[in-house]
Amino acid sequence: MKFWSEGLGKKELVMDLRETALDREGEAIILTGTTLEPAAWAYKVTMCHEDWNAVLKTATSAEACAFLSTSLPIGKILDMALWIGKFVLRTAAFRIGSTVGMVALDEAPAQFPSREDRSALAPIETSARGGRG
Amino acid sequence: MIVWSKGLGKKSLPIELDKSRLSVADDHLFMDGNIEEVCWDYSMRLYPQDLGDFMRLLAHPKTARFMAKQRGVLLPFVWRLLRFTPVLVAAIFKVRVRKAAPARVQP
Repeated sequence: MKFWSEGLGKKELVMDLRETALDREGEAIILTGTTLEPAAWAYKVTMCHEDWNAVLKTATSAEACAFLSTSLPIGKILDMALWIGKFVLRTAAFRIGSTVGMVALDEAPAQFPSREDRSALAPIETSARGGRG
Repeated sequence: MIVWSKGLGKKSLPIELDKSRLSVADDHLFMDGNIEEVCWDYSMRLYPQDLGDFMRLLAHPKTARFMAKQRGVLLPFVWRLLRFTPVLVAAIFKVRVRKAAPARVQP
């Protein structure tokens, strides 16, 4: 993913979302990592509910449909569909669990341990790296 | 959404994703807009790999638990998915048929 803003001048931040660490702080999800270009800079993205709602709307927009149908192989689209399915099922499970009083939505997710918590999505050391990408 | 990077120094950029413009380029999705607080333009390019990675982050248990806290999100999203899926399937089919069709030779 490439991010540019006037505050960066002519530079553009290149980020590999596969190496992004995810954590929750109160009413926001925090994504952290290190950029690939122009240098190994630490970055932090704070996303609240409205931002994730915008992501969901973008994922099901006409533009996304046009892009997916022309730019992605079927295998990748099915992969995305799988993740969306997981999101729907997990969210529904948490919602139902919260409704019946089995899950507290504000606590750390001890009841649903996941491989993701121990794998590549775990926080990484934000030390300088060279020569990536 | 608040973006910070070492390249921005002490500044954090508050971006309203729901107000961003979305368009399709050759090999990426292009999102752009203006950060009202500082009156700076911004843009984001999402490549095919990024979309899959974003969905993976969305499906993370912490994100799912976080999203479950908000009412009125899941069912509208499922409804949009149900409407989106046949349109996507039809678009994929159309693109594949167009690619597979032999080129017509002008007499």
